[in-house]
Amino acid sequence: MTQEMPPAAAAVVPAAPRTAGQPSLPRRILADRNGLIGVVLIGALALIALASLVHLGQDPLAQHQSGQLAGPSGAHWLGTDQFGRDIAARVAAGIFASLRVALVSVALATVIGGLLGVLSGFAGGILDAVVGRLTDVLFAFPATLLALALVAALGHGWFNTAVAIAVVYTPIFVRVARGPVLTVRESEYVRAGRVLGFSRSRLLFRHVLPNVSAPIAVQVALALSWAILTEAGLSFLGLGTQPPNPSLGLMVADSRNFFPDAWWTLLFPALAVVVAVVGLNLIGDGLRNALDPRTVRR
Amino acid sequence: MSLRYLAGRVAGMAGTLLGVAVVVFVVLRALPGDTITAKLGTQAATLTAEQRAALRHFYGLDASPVTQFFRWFGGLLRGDLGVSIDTGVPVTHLIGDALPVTVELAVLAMVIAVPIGVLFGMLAASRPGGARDFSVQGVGLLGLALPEFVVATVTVAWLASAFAYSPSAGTYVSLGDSFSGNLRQMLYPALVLAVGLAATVMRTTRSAYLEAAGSDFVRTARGKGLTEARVRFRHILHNAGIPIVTMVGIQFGYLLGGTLIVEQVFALPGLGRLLLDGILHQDYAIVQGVTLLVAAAFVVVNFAVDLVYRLLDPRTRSEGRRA
Repeated sequence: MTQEMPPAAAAVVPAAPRTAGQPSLPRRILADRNGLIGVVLIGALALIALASLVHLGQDPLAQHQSGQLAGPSGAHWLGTDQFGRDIAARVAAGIFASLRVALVSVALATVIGGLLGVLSGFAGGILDAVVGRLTDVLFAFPATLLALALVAALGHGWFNTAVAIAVVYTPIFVRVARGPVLTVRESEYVRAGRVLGFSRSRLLFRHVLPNVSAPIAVQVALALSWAILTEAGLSFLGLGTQPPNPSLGLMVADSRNFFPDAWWTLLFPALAVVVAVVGLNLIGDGLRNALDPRTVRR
Repeated sequence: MSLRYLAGRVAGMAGTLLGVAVVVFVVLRALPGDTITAKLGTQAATLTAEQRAALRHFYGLDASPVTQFFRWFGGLLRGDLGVSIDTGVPVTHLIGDALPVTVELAVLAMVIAVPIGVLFGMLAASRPGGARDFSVQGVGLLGLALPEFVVATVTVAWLASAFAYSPSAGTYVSLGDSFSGNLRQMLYPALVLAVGLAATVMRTTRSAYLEAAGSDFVRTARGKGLTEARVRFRHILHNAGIPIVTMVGIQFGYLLGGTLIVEQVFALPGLGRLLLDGILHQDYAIVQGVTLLVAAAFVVVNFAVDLVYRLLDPRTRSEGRRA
């Protein structure tokens, strides 16, 4: 095993078991200034994405011959693009596409990576060695590069993009989950459980997992924001969502020829990405503060 | 640093690199279409079974995957990365042309980002929780959240409309051809890369500086009556330097594989663009070569960072022995 940790591991916070009388986790996140702003931003984006899902507003694919590259107006709130398509509808659908890839990829990475990390940390031995080596190898690839090569190998489509991003982020979850397990494994309550003859699965799921979930939760928020950036970047390069389907990265790529005259073609999709990334980072900060009682406001 | 430790790390690194080679080989075998369809395009459909078999033999595709891997890996060890199917040029030549562009871009971005990041990180940390800290942190978060492709797109469009200068038009001027011409081409892409980098360095500096500022030796230094500037630079920054150097090193490794979007937008013939072209033209050899090189460089850079870390921090060095 190499000894350096990935930058992501800087997000690791100590496991903090919830004590009686403390407010619930969502309350504590909302009580944190950053957490609250983050939840509001992401909540707003989620609502917009849902609105596009139930086809509230205009059709993102419909081309209006009369109004190409028209500025924001009553008919088209955020203007139209070079084919006269409604930008508001396309941004909303793009947000949905981004969130879908981000959620699916991070869910896969969290479940697979988290489970592998917890198991290998808890079991040690051969499993730990094999998982450790695999993690090292995957860490040897810069994230963008690995995602790109995987998308090229798997082919286009949102699910393939999600799988590629999941593979990139799985090793991060392995390490984030494994670290605290090594400590928790030796803690008195786990030892006591062993002495009492609890089964391995009971020890693992009832005693170890709840106490290592804090760093994993923080990592989920951060990974979601990277996943959104990666998806947008892949689409921008023409390797993610394919036209005419709306995607935030693709919209920015298309706007290149019309900016700064038709500024709305670039501003709104770019803003959606930035809001998503800032919101998720703030939620990550809020989670970290809420989960770590020792966090001092710096 | 003990020799044993070094040997262990080098062996570990070799193992990782072998794993990298296996992953690259396996992933790229999964790419749609094979070398023959990539080479001949739609004409591949007109081949007779014998012609196809002959071609498969010629390209070594009829051997078992394991044999293919060892053939390929043996070539790697001899510095043979294969030949681009598209152009017939050896991949090592293509990489040789592209690598300096990417390295220059990464170095330039570092030169711009590191001083800015360190300076603003110190500024933010000098009065934590204050208005200055809040605004620097806000700008930093924005710098991290602004996608590179947005910054790059806006920069290119702005240069074109404001100065009628199109950085992506025209041919690439190498450092050897013209120093000023090259710098003019590289400056804007490097600036774009520096945005996110400076934000990362800023955040690392801020937290490392705060950590160091809270330690006993700083209180002692202040108690001795040293000037504030001396305390800040000689005592705090000096000790905060280790995490900063580590972060900068890791970021440099990332940059080697992360200049792709900027190279694409600014039309610079670096590694990222070579890779992207390879993917779009299904040119296996190029994709394999570039991916391997970047991953290997990344592993080596991380190893070097780890060594520097140990040299900088005497506490991690000893293990009972002298270096």
